[in-house]
Amino acid sequence: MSPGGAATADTRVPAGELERHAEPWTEEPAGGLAAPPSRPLRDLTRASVERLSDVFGDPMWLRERRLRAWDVYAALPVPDTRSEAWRYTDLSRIPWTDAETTSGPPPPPEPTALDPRLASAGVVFTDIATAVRRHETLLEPHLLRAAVEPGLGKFAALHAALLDGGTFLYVPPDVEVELPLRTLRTMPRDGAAAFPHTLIVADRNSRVTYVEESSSPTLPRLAVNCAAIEILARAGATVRIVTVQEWGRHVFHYGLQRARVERDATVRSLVVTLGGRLARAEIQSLLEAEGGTSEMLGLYLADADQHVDHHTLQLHQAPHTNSDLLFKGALWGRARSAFSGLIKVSKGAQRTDAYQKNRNLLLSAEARADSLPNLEIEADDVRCSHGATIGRADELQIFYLMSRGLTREAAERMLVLGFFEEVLARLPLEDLRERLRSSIRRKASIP
Amino acid sequence: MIDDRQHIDAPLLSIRGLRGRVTDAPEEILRGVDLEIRRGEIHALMGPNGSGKSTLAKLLSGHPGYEATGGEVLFRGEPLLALDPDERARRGIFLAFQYPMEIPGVSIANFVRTAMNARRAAEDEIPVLDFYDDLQAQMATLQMEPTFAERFVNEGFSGGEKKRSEILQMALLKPELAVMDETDSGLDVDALRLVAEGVVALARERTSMAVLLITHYQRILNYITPDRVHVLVRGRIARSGGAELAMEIESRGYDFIREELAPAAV
Ligand SMILES: Nc1ncnc2c1ncn2[C@@H]1O[C@H](COP(=O)(O)OP(=O)(O)OP(=O)(O)O)[C@@H](O)[C@H]1O
Ligand SMILES: [Mg+2]
Repeated sequence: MSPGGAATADTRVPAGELERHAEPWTEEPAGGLAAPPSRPLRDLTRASVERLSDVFGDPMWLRERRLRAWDVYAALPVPDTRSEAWRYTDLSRIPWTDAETTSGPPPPPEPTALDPRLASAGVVFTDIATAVRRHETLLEPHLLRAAVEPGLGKFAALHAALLDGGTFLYVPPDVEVELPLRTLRTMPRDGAAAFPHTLIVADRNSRVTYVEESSSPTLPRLAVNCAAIEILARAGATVRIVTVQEWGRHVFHYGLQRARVERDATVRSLVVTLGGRLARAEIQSLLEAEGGTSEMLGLYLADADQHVDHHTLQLHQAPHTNSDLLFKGALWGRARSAFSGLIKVSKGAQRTDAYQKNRNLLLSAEARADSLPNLEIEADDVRCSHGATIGRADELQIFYLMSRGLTREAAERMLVLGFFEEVLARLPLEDLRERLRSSIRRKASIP
Repeated sequence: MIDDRQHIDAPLLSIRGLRGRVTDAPEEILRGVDLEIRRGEIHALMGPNGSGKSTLAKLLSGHPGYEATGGEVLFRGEPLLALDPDERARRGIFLAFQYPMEIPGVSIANFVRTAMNARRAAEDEIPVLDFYDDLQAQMATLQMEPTFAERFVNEGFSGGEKKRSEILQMALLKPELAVMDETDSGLDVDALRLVAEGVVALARERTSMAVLLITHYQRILNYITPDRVHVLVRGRIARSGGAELAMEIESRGYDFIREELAPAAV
């Protein structure tokens, strides 16, 4: 899609660049190697990663990063509920290692029709495979380095080893991209594992909004989406990122989103979790220098036997930094949610403001939410607050709506939409808000 | 105000020996209420604080905090008390609340449109533009700013705004029976006139609509002439009469009715 195009004038989702598979991947200079057969994750070895790297035609630096990541992955145990970070999410319930890697690189999409003015200003918005070929000098210093590293955990390491595509966005100094840039992702196949990566580098005093939407129908076999988004906001830059996860119910989604926020830079994110069977999102903001600001918004709606787990970190490493987090979730059926958020203020990070709020609305007797807000403060001149609530829908509000003719279900739905409005109101993009509302409405009508 | 059919039709609302209380509370608040309202009639319900007026309104609307402990209510000839609140609303009962609830994040426009569609078949939803025309026209009548429609239901509304919003909903939902619980309280003189005129216009436009107007003041009855006035005292209708009864209460207070009642109550 074109960033200069009419993306925001239409509430329907414009075709994302990654869904257009114009060129078949076989045209890639893959070195004449046969694609390795797809293999279940549990059977992968270091040699499989080498093989994969050959097929992708990786430059040496990328190959090395993959292999180092594999070594980290191999050395780490699968997280289980004994570890604090995975206390509420039991991975042994799902046979995720049965999912298979794809047999070749995903088809690279047709080059983005980027607004020529943006392109000539030096903005890069393309898929990772193209970026490796055409923008290597921009990519190399940042890919799997800007904010995401294998050491962050078992799945971060697996992602880095098997990274198989994604989006690269670079905005040069002082360039402001007015309209949101969008990527639309679909699942390759059922039973498959995908490892999409998004790298956003916003150079000094630049400004950009990026929207990433993932969706698929529900398919029979468990699929794995092991994704990572790394964001580097250079001094004075402003990045807004909205991710919308609407996978089918066969997907185990792991999404790591990590932002480094430099001096006077701002990163605002909204993570919307609607789909998947088990969805784990880790969202982190690192405020590295004075004047950095982070806003982390989240919205989740789960039903039936969905399990959603959000794990957040607001890390204040420098004085005069601000962070604000608001995550709201509503649960129907036997759905479960976990939220665990940490505000960490390092010793030197005086004059810091950090806020965190998690609110959960339970709409059935069997739904369950757990919320664990956490503070670790080493500085003494800070303003911090955190809070969590888990409650049922207010019977008097439901009665009021019903007294006007709405059924109980319609009344609950309306309360849920209203409940999320506090989060949506913080997004200054009406088209996007309306698009999110319609997703929420659709989801809320099939509890 | 008299509908031709009223003599042949059964009453729109018929309350017989209704007893009721706050759910699970020991004492009864309503201790045998009898009341009949026919289509097109306007009834005023008066009575001292705490006599049970709001309790009656809440029992009619199906409020979860109140329960009937005896007697029966027929609405359009059918038993009402076993129905859920939404079913009652769809059959035509509307309660303008004394203290309406706040619904954060839900705009008036969205709420009312959903409520209007709730009483229509799925394939017969009111076209969005028709709805907004209707909404803006009614808001203009009530002298409400057009932007008011986008405010969240009752959130941060002044007392008068809440009352107007209730009347706006009533005007758009076009009930068969409107129960108005102290809609006149807390309104300034101009707002009172507006609201009263709104009700009168609605009643004139829909001659079959009946109104049960709960009030403490004769003022509103200057605009809306009731067919009947009832006085509720300690959970029973102690006195019924014509519009002149409201005048009498205005000048004499409730004591004379209480005194009349006292021997009977012992
Ligand atoms: N939820 C409740 N909990 C406890 N008592 C209640 C409740 N609702 C009503 N009551 C009591 O029932 C009695 C009747 O109350 P109700 O609100 O029906 O009176 P009212 O006639 O509407 O009074 P007012 O003129 O003050 O509005 C009062 O004594 C009141 O305190
Ligand atoms: Mg009352």
